[in-house]
Amino acid sequence: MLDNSRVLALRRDLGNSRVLTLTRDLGNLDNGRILRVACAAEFIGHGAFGIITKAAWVPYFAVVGIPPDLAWKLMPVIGTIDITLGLLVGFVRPARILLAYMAFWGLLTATIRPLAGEPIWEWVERVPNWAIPLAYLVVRGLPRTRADWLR
Amino acid sequence: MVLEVLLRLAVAGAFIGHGAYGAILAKPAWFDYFGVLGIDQATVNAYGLMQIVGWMEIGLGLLALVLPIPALLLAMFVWKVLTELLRPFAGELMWEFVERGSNMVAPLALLLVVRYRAIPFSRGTRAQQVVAARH
Repeated sequence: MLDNSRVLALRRDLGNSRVLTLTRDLGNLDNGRILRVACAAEFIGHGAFGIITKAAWVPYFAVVGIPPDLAWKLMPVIGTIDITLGLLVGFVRPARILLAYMAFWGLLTATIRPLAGEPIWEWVERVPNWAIPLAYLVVRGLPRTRADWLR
Repeated sequence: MVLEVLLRLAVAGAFIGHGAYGAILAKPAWFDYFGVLGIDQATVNAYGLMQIVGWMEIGLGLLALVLPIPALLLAMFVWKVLTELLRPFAGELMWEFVERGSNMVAPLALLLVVRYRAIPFSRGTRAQQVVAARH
């Protein structure tokens, strides 16, 4: 039978083993790399549809009183903003204010779908669109000072 | 804690919402995805495949919400990536796949959080983690 000190030594050795170190590093979301990739992909992909323009988006603009002709003009603008945000977060700096905006925008664009008459499931499926940027914000640490928002 | 709740909600939303398209709404676009796998519409209807897949996704989503099992989360991550990959193969734009980055990554992120929690002896304090990460 192992005494306590040997158990502790065994645990320490296990803890130092390559496999467990790898698991720990993967599990350590402190750097949140996969969440960063997800946020960037979500916004670049969504923005691409804005640039391409999508007829399905017209009813979403109508919810907030924007007529179709203006909606078609605004789509590339929104698409450009989305892609810029995705590129900034993905490749430049995942500043907290950008992540907060992503969560807000993800929630807004998901919520507008049922308001435009689509099934509620369209909203449910898009929970990750705001939850993942928010999760990344939590991983990065909520801001304590005003300057933290830009870091 | 907050992180895990957010990720559980994200996984549940992605799977329940998506499953509902098949199980409840029977979205016609799904026939194209089955088509990519060589399953025609008649077969899908005959065996109720859309409902089976849809309810399975809803079940997995609910399970992840209340009891996130690591092995299942890994399977869900693979499932999500593969099913979203069907979109470009069914003739949709590649951006449909890219746009769903958050939906695909959610089970993997939750898996990592759950696994991390499960190895208490290698966790230590933040300072110990930093030291350990250097070795």
